[in-house]
Amino acid sequence: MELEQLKTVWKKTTDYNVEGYFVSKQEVERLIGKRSNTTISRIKRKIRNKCFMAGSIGVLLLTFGTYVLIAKEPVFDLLKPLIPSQSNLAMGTFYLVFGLVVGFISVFNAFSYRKILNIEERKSDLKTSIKNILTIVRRAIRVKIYSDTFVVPVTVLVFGIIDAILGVGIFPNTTTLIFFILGAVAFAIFTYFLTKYGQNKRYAKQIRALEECLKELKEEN
Amino acid sequence: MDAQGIVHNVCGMYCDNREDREDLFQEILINLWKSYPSFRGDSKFSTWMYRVSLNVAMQRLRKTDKQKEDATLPANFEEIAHPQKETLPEKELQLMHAAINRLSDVEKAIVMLYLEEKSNEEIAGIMGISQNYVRVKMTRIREKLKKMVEA
Repeated sequence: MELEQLKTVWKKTTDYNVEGYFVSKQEVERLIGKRSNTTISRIKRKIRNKCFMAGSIGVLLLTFGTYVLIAKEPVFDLLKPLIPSQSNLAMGTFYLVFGLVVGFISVFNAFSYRKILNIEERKSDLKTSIKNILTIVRRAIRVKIYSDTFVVPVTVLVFGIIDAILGVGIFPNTTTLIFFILGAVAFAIFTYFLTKYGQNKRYAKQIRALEECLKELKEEN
Repeated sequence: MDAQGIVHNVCGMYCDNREDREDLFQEILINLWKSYPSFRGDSKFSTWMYRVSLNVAMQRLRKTDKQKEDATLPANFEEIAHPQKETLPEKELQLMHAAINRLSDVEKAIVMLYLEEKSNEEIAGIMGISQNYVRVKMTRIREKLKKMVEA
């Protein structure tokens, strides 16, 4: 089919569509009320959810930590079965610091979300949009990999620091501490590759397709 | 061309089955709705619509077979997709889709804008390429289509 023939059929199809395909105002309202499933919308939803979850848990830990710290009597403690007979000061500090770590993950995700919005707001031509989408997808992959990889080692590190300063008794001796550190590092390495594999499986096809489009649009240079 | 026509044409260009068309139609509507506050009127409304619609068409997730099976259609979809009107000659449509499907996503966008009788300047503005490159691409597309006919 030559381009001119294509034009004739296209015109017929267009006229047919415009006359025959009319979606009412109510239908449009119903359709726009649904969730978007584009790559960017999905990424934004995931980051937003993670931010909200980590934020909520962080606030809970901070509140609980503060309560434990200011309480005069020994309070119910989630870690009591594991680390019995610890002072309110030690456990309160533990929850506060842990709350701050979780809060940091939330802030990290919120920061990434804001960056994505900034990139997305730059409304431009198709070539620039594709570049922006690629930037967003790559950023989201990095955020996911780093926040998943570092959460366990950072937690162990926080435990270790608190234990060293306040003598909570999480790590009764150096051997246990080394065992935990090695375990955390091994877990981090495993998580890194697993997350990388998962993200690759999820977005590689999409990234390749977009890179292909971008390459085609850049061909002139 | 009215707004719905633009959206519908983009869907027709990028999807070859009605489920995908319906999904893309909805995606484009949602994104147009969300992006509308950022439309400042520094380009034609139709140009802006093409930009948003093409952007969504290119970044949409291609559904897997499983997802296609699971996808639910609105109750009145038949009415939307197949209005009670005289149908186009099937052969012509098949030929058109066969030709379009051999083109890349970028070529599809350029051809569609050309078929919509947009000027090279407008096509260049929407795509983010130079007018000269639009001409180069059009020549290549013509050759590609010609080869298809010869084959």
